[in-house]
Amino acid sequence: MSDYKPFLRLLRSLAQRNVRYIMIGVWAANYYARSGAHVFATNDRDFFLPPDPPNLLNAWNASRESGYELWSGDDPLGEPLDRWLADRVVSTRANTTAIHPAGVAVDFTLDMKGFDFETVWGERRLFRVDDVEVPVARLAHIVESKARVNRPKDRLFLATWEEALRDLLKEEE
Amino acid sequence: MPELAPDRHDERFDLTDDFLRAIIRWENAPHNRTGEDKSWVEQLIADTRDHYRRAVRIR
Repeated sequence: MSDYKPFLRLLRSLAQRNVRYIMIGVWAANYYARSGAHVFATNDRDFFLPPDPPNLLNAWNASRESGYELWSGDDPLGEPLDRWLADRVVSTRANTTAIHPAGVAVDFTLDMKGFDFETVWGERRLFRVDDVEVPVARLAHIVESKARVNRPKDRLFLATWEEALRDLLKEEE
Repeated sequence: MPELAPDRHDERFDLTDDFLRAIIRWENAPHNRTGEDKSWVEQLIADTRDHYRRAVRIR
């Protein structure tokens, strides 16, 4: 099964439930590409959520009704999915991951290095995938956060974008 | 995939003013305005992954 439909189902369910999230990371940066030549290979789909337990619980329920299983690290997320569990996860700022049998994995993260949720949310872009509006972080925010995280793969991402941008902007001039 | 350097935190990518200006210019380009349809990005990634998932070694 292709990844497209399960991911779209999740996006639609998050929108219907009014979950506040923003797509960040390399997956989000790919939305700024102009063609396939500038789409960066990655498996990481990162959604940044505010430290708000009811919102996180809502995201979990949206995932489950879209056919995803929920994990915390290497373990299934506990049961029941309730406010108590969401409070615990938010208090420890733990990541949770929604995984679909088709191979789609989405990380719900409560941290974006160097930024608080409201700043990124306030300047988000709303792109469209099929009939769903998807909130995406500004490319500038993604790039600055990557520079702060500073893992080798982040430096590689930044160097690749720098080179691509140089060429693309030159083409436009 | 290029060889990754060891995870040394004394190495940093220098976010120059020129690079940040270029990023802002790029994110404000017409194809990146709010409301733009990005279905093609998801479709492209899904198709690519599907292609490699189906690949089998024949020799």
